[in-house]
Amino acid sequence: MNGLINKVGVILLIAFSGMMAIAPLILDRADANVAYLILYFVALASSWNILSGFTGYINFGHAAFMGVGMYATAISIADFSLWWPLAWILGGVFAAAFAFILGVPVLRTRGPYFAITMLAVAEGTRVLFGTSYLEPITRAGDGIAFSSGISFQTKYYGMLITVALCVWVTYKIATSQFGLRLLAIREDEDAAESMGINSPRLKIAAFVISAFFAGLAGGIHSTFLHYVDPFHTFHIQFTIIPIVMAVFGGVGTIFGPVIGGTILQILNDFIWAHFLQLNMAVFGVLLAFLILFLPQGFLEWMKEGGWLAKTRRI
Amino acid sequence: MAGEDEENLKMPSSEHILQVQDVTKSFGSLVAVNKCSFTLEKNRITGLIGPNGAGKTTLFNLIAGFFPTDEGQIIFKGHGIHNLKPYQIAERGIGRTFQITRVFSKMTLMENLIVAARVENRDERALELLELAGLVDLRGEYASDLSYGQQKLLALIRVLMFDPDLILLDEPAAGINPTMQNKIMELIHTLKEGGKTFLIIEHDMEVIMGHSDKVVVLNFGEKIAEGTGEEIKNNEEVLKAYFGR
Repeated sequence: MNGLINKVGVILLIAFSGMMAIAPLILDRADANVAYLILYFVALASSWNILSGFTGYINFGHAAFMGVGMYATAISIADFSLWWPLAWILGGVFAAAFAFILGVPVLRTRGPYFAITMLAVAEGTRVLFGTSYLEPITRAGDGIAFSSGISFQTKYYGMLITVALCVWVTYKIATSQFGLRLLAIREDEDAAESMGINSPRLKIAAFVISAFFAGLAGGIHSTFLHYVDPFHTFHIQFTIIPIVMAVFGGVGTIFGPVIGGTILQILNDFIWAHFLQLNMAVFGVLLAFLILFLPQGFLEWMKEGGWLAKTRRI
Repeated sequence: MAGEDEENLKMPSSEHILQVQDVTKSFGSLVAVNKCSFTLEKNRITGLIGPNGAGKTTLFNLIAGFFPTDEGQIIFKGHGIHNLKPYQIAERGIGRTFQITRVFSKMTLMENLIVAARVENRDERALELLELAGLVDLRGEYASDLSYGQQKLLALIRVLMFDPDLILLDEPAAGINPTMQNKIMELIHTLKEGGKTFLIIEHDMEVIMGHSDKVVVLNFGEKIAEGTGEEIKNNEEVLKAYFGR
């Protein structure tokens, strides 16, 4: 039974990867956009999972890293005419640096305090980017409109590679002692420390990796939007939706955020099309149901039920 | 202090691995541990007993670095450790278990062990320890699926994965059946033969008296007695603390 489901899983994964790889070549632009947004949200959910899924430090400020990445890419293209691949990577690098600086004080708080602190960080970053003090750099509330001159397909495959890299890194983490130690922090941080696990250092490492991929995805997305401004860039939906996706699929797993991101983004697209006014409300209800019935997520529920092996390779 | 040290040094074949010197810890107006001093000899099992609220677990938390000491020093293998963080103390060779087991419940038994590994061949070592504890068949299960007694065993062998010299056990035999108790105490003796030093908090007097080389008694945060099991049983202060006479 286990073997069969694992095989089906592998086949589904290959089929999914293949479909995503050829999507922009065979779909019309509107449907290809949907596929692109699936990848974008999977990148956010999967990167969020690297810190929060593994350590249990629920990051309610992931949009801050995505937003910093968007600004870094936008500014480096708009003002410095940087070559776009470098501008994308710079998005990840700036977000990672921001996480590193932030992580030292912020990761001293635990549980709900960390969640609230990160919520404040994201809001604070939004306000900061909109202030007149930073206007010479960020254009404050006006935002930055720019053209990157790259094709949709390039952006699509950039996002696909980002997702693939992020999932590969997650796989490496999940199957390493580093990943196990992050999980131990999630399970019981004091007990983990009593076994010689240097939790401050490990948490910062996970935070920086998580922020890098959020910033990279954000950077690519800014070239998709051709525009960044504080309100849209740091909007809380870019924190909440990826969290719901990761929780739905399974936190602390490799493919959970991919499954959650794909299913929920398709659903989200449907909700947008049919209940535009209520789209966040529907998501909120969904979140409540998830916490009630699938608190560990889809994959963990499969493992608990004996349908999947209790391995970190999924 | 100096006099006591000299006296101890005369004892043959006993090397001090841990020295607790005048350690004090207060929480607000409550003095949980008060000018407490004792030493642990290498390769011995020392029992730490005392009525509820005597400060035993607080003392454990001080040694393991979970709280800073207010006063006094804790010296492990010749170095002060009272300002270090828990993971630094563990790195220096002190392992501990908790009163409630605190195993990593959503990790498999195998993962519970290799997560802490600092030894070569960690998988082999983990399997060896699981074998020793009789848990090897359950290695792929989540720790939350174990019985309480099995979790206590797991907590004990988990500590061994980073090969500490001194192991602090907080009630290793409490709340579990006698068969499992015997198994745990047997394991502790096996490990002692292998060169480990133990400090054990235990409420069960038979367990403590039967297995400890030395017993330290705390009451209201102060050390009231120290000696062999026999000496402790007949100590006036101890009888007063336990039975009020």
